[in-house]
Amino acid sequence: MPNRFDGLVDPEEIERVIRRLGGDLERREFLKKMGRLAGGLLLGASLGAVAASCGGRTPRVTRTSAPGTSPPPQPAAAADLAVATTGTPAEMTRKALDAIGGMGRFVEAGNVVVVKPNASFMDGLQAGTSTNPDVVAEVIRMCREAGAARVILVDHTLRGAAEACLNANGIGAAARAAGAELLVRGGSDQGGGVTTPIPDAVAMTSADVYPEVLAADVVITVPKAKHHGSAGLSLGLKNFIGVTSNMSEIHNHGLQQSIADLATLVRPRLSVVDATVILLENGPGGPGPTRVANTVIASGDAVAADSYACTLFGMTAADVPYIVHAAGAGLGTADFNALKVVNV
Amino acid sequence: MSGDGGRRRGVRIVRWCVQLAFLAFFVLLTFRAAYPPIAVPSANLLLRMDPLAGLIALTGARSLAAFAAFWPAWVLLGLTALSGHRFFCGWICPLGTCFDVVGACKPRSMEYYRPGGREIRARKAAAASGSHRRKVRLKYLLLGLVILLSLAGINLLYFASPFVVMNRSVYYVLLPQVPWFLVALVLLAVAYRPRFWCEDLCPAGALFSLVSKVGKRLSARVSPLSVVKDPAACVSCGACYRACDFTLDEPFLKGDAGQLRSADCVACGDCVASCPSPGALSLKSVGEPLYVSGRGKPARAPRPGREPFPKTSPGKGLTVTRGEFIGSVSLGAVLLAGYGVGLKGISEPPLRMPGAQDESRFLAACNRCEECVRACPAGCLVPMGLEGGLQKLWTPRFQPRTAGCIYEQCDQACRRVCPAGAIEEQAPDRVAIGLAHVDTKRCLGHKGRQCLVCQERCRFNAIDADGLRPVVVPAKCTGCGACEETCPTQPSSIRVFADGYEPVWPDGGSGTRRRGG
Repeated sequence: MPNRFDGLVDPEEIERVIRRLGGDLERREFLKKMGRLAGGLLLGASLGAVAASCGGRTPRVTRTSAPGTSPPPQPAAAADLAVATTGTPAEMTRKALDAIGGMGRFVEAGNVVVVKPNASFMDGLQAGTSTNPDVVAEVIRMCREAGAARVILVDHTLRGAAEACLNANGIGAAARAAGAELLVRGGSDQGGGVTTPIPDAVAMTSADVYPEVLAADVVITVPKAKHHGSAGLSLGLKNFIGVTSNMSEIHNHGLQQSIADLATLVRPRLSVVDATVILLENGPGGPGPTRVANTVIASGDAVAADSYACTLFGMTAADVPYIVHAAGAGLGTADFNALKVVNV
Repeated sequence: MSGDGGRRRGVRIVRWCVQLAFLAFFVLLTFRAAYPPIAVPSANLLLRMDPLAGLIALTGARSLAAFAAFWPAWVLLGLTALSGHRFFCGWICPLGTCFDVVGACKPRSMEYYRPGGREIRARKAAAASGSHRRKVRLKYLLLGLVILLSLAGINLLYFASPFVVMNRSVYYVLLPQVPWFLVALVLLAVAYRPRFWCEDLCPAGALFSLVSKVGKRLSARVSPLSVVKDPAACVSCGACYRACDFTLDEPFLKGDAGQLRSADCVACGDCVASCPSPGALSLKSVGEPLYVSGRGKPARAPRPGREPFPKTSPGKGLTVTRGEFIGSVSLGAVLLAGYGVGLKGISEPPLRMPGAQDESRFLAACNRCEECVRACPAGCLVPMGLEGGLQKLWTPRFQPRTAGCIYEQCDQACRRVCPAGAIEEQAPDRVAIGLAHVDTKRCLGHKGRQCLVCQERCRFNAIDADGLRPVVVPAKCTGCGACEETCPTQPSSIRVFADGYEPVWPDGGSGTRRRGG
């Protein structure tokens, strides 16, 4: 095309050009150029949108087997429920797990394991609001020892951004050091959950569950035993509210029954209850009076583990309806006395 | 491009590179203002190059600290005065670059200015009467208006500053949404002249022009940059006039004056590049020629009896007559009268981020550049629409239902990126965004159901559980909105309101919207 600086300014030429303004050639050229420009802008905008949406929120999970479909663990000559009360939190965790047959009873080589602690709060150990990081780390380490291909730490924190919570309660560093991948979401509902029907539900017929939980071979709940203002106690079954992205929604369906409904979907294979320091009032976030119970409870029956944990608060499963509902749904037994319980 | 001279293409290419690099830098900085920002103090570096915003920080926000934070702008103004050119507009301004892109894409035939009938008549009348009334370009009036109104607490930078317009536009494109104001300006450039905004409307450009004018007077001899004409070599072909995106001053073209005096010269070098006559025009630095003309297409001699230029100045500029001035003042008065009136009537007072609780001061200081909205890691800030009237348009509103504020975790990212000093630093224990109120008719706990999610989520223990009923403790509540964000009812049964505002709860289901998921 001719250069725009070319030639002389001739008034006649100007007149001519002005007259030609409406000419087809010019208009077509102009439209073409503007079209190209608009196309470029659109392309840039969509690239920006794509870049913005690739924020890394979507977890990449390749395993597709449903939870609980692996062959049932080989029963060993071991206890059904173990209560450890001596040693450091890590030692208690290992002792309790060894007493119920070791991690090999629950995790097979090559399994993808999801570990669900309670990492919801930005408090240290003494507040009794989050799972002890040593307990979490020991569980992860034992999963690795049992040959787990991947151990994924999943949670949806309550008070504050995921990293802030994980840093404050120490679970982040401990879990990473023990060899887990972290998929922890922060405070607000940022999506990421997959709306999943709960076939055995009584009250809540679907939940937005994080896909890695659905895809895992084994799900292990590692709760903090503590008081809870609305549910009574927060234990291993209630812990699974944190595998959903729409955490608040569960309260619309009746909290107690919905906790049991959600547990029928997740079906934990192992429960390791951290009762080293327990929060007695003003739960789940505290601050409130705590007691050093120095206890770790491990069981393949999450209902029984929760039921046993109630006794630490001077309560029984009957005081915490979701345990009764879960037992009713066939997830386990609330009557731990019927099981082989050992103290180690 | 015709093959006349690599130099000519050269200066163009260099300028394109510089302009596009700055545009890319600007977009990158806006992009990276998102939390966690690369380096928070410099994420708004280009925004702090805006001298007009710096002035407004003094007249509107009345903050010396904010004024001083605009040091890049003062450096820039100093360089402008020293060089005597609005070089910023020609080489750096991201909005100017957009206009240049439009100019490059416009077909040649559209580059000519077509005076309207009214203007032609006015010019004929002026020629007939022989009067050369001095006219003031609109941009200077706009500059005065923006500064005057800022004294009254009305911040118009969101229309007046190219930096703010660009930043907001980049933010909207990233969303992605259409940046309507930028689109309007680009359409203006398409319909009229690419640099129409820059030469006739831009108040920040007016400030640069004023300073460069002063600089030209002060440093006529020692200016490090000047365009000089050798009348002996000039063939009066008018190539420079056509090349200039602004209005070259006519005396300069027609003969005698040695140095280009236009206050609007952006030092792009297009006139020198286009000049076909060797030595007729040169770009000089402290008397030494940097760049001399003569690579343009060889000139044709003007036809006998014809002036190479239009008889009168083509008057590309938009100037103001008395009637127009009175009309614009009346329009301004009408706009001002409607300034505070929201589209939906008087709505509840908007919540702001921590450190922005004095609403009138905030409105005076906020530029509406959306840097804070971009920086917020929680995503709890949204630009307002017209619900609070023109005066609150595009100001950041804290919307707890979308996300609660986590100021103690992000260390007030919004405050740290704000170039205007509109947000004050707050000690974490003194934050008071608002106060949470419980809708006792809707709240699940007050209906006897087990919930208390708000109590679980409250980081400040500002919600007590009275049995299953949440009760807000005003002394502890910071208004962070974690409770409102998380409440399972639809709409939320616990909401944050500005301090002192008594909430009216909706009976029906027409509450705030909730994010899906």
